[in-house]
Amino acid sequence: MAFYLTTILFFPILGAVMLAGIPGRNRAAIRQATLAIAVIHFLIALPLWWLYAPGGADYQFVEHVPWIDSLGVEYHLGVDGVSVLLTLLTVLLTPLAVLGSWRYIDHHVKEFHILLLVLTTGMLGVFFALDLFVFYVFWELMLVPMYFLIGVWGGEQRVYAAVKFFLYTFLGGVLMLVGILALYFHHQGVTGVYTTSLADLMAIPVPGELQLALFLAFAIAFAIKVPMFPFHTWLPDAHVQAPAAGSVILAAVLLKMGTYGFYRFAMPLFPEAARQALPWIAGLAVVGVIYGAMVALVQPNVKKLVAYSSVSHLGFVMLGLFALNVTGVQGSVIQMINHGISTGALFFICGMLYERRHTYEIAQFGGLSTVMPVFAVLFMIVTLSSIGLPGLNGFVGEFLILVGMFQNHPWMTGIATAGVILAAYYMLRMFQSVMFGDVEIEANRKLPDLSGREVAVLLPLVALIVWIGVYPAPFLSRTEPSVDRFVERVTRTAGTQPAEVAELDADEAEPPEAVPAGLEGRP
Amino acid sequence: MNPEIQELLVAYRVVRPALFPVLPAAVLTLFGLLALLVDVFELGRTRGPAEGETGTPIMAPYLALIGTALALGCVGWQAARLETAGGPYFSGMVVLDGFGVFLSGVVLAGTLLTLLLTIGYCRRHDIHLAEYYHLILMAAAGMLIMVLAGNLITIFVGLELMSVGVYVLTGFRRTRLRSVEGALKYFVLGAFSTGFFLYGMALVYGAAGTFDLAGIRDAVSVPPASPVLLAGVALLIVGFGFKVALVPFHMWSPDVYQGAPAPVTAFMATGVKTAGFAAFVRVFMSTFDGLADQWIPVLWALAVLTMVVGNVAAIRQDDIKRMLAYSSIAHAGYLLVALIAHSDIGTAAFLYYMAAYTLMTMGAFGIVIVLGEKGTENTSIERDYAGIAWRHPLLAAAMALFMFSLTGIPPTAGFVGKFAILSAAVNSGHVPLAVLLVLTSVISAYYYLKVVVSMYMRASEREPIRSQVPAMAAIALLIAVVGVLGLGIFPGQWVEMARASVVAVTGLP
Repeated sequence: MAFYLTTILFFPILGAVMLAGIPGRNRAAIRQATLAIAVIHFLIALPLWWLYAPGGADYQFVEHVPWIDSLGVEYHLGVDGVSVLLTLLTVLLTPLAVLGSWRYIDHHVKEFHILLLVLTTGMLGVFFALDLFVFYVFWELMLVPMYFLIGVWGGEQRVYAAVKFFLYTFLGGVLMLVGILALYFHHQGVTGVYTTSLADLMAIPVPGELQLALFLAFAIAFAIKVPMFPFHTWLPDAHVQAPAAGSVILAAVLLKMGTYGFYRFAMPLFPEAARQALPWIAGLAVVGVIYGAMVALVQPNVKKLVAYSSVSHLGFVMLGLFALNVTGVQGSVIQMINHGISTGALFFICGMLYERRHTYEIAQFGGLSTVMPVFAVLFMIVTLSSIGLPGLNGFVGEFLILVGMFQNHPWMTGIATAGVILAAYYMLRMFQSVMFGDVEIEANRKLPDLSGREVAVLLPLVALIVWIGVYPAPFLSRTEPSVDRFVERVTRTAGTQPAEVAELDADEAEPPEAVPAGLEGRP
Repeated sequence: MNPEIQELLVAYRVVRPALFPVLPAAVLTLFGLLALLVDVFELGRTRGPAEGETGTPIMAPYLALIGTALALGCVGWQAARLETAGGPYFSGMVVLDGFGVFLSGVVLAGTLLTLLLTIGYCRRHDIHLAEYYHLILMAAAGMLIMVLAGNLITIFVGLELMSVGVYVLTGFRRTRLRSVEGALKYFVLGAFSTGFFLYGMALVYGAAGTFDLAGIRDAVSVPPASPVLLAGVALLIVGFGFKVALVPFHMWSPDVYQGAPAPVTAFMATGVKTAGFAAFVRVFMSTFDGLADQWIPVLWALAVLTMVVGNVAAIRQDDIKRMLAYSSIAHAGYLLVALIAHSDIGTAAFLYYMAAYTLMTMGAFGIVIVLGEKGTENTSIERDYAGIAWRHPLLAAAMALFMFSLTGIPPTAGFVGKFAILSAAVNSGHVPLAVLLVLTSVISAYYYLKVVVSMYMRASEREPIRSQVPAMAAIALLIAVVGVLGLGIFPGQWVEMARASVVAVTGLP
């Protein structure tokens, strides 16, 4: 299986090159070709699910090729359980995104699909990279196609949203770059070797002060991407303006790159600093949970509502990561996948509403369940999954996160739980206004129900929602060894025994109680 | 055989090895003169560039191209023989080293691209004057002399040869008000800055007793530095600062860049900047090495000012040539950071960035040139660039690539260049400067994106630009695209080459 990951990584680029050869007028052919490419890509990547051995090496399918010798940069790829799941999520969503924009995208069709494929490569590169330079290259590379997707095919405020998205992410990225360089030279100072390899850099402990500064440099980049309160302001704009497929990819995969960045880079590289920053980050995560939910509550616009619900959900993911125990982190990982599925599906649904009525205003709908019964069923399941109804996927993640967090920080957990309740409120209220009641607006009377294509877009996602909700074990077992290692790495102080971890946690249980108490009143 | 000829031959045999370092410059000069000479025999034709008048194409552009290509070949030869032939020539007036040869290559590559782009431009605007090509070649020869100079006098001669040529080129479209205004401004301020430079040289000579760079270094290596010397160094900074457009010596550059014919602007933004920086870095990294504690804070302040002012001022520009002028000011700031790092890594980063910068700036100007029409250059970002992505998809894609490269997005040359400079800065402990560099890069992303936004996300409200890409220009753009991507994706050997080229500069005789 040499170069398995490289094949997965660059197959979309190959597809994009092939696509460039099709004349732009032939839209149907372009759509079909892209769909075929995306499905083949999915099939190529799917065996990862079985081939990845959870009990095996830390990183599997590792590829190691020298790239820039003089800088010590290597083309170094590999996956662990978490990246396997995120990879599968990505390759699943790309064909769905193509299907979902079948009618939505009606101008510059060829360019759209080429960019979508390039974007896929950028995202996968981030999940595969085991070298900071490689990671950074893909991190920035993925910005460019997303920027075009929002800016060219987006709504009325698209240019503003696209530029804002680009500048925010770029700002975080370049600060991280300085952090990477500082780490690089620190490593060189200690060992005399120039390298950007993640494993090598993790092997050398970083002294306290520097560690905190570097953690901050990385954390800001990732926090913007997540996005964590107060760095979230780009998200509603980008989400609302992006075309349906863009919003789906943005919510389902791009936001995960932020949390994945914490999981893969920021926390394992700087464990002590991560523990020091824990009260603050967890506090901000709680604020995000509540704030996102409260803002979602007052949105008159479906898409904006879903966007703000993302802020809230991602707050949960961050909370789980910083629970620093296996339960919480497992919940967090599964919640990343869940959010990708549920919110992805919700954005598809927004797109379907928009295709029919060219508006996202909740007030413009009402009573759709009688007009579009199939749509109503699927929408209902997705809504309930987003709320976290037991038996559907959202519950598994949120439950694990709250259990994990409760062990260390009961107060914060208590406040965060309010977010779950609020989520039920705003989601159900939105669902009710859109779907139930009488059809009051004439234009809604003759809306067509979902076409076969649209059902095909939602059905795989709904199936996953139920599968993870009922039987999450295959997912959890794949990530468990990786999560174990992560927790071990982050909770162990350099040069001490794991026994002291409990003490440390006990020490740190105090400040978090003070933080949310102060922040509680803010939203 | 005639004894006089025999004497000459003997003399030639003695002189021949000494000519080796100046061979490229000599080739350029030769072809420059040849271009003028051939022009004399083409008298029957109509000459431009009065508006509305159509001229006849001439030989000179092709001579210039051949000359530049030959000179580039000579530089390759120099690079290959550097091991054995490197060192001082003409009693130290000229130094052949890796640093100089690398930058000679960059200068000549810039010149070659300028010429490729110029030919179509001149045909479109009916500028059929051999002098134009003559001046480009002579200015390029001046740049090569600056790049290899081992003596303040040589630097000065190269500087003047280059500057005078570019002054005239700026005003070449003499029926255009902006062109003339730019030329006048450039000439007056340029002459003024030359005064500073000369005064600085004189003071340094007063302190060191020699113009020789190595000699000055030995003379000033004993602390404490005399006030006369420091004043001289300060004046030299002003002189160099003007040539490479550092804030606050940048006032001329937006007007001149906007006014000059687009290919000349491209030539200025790349060639003049490369040559100016080459001499700047050589003088400060080797000659005034011992005074680093004194000049680093000064350059530090200049770098901060240059990066901030250049990037902030660029935001408001609608004229793309003006925007690129401010952008090139900002890039001068980044290059200065590499110099401030004051290390081999920094100098290597400088070399790499210079190559990357030349390619991407040339590319960007190339698109600007190609999008011009007869009588107008179409330089408004808002009006002329709106929606061109859907009429000229390849040109727009190339322009977007150059914009992303200038911003520093991987996988482009601009990214690796910025990475190199940042690593040099961080390695030397200038973390605040590195942070400022990346923050100002974020500002720059805004105005580079403005071009992309206009091209891809706005609808055009003017009649379509009827532009055909001349074959020569297409070749130039292709070179730039391949170069920007190649240096970005496979930077290994180029980084290696830049590193290897540095060894020689610090080992100045």
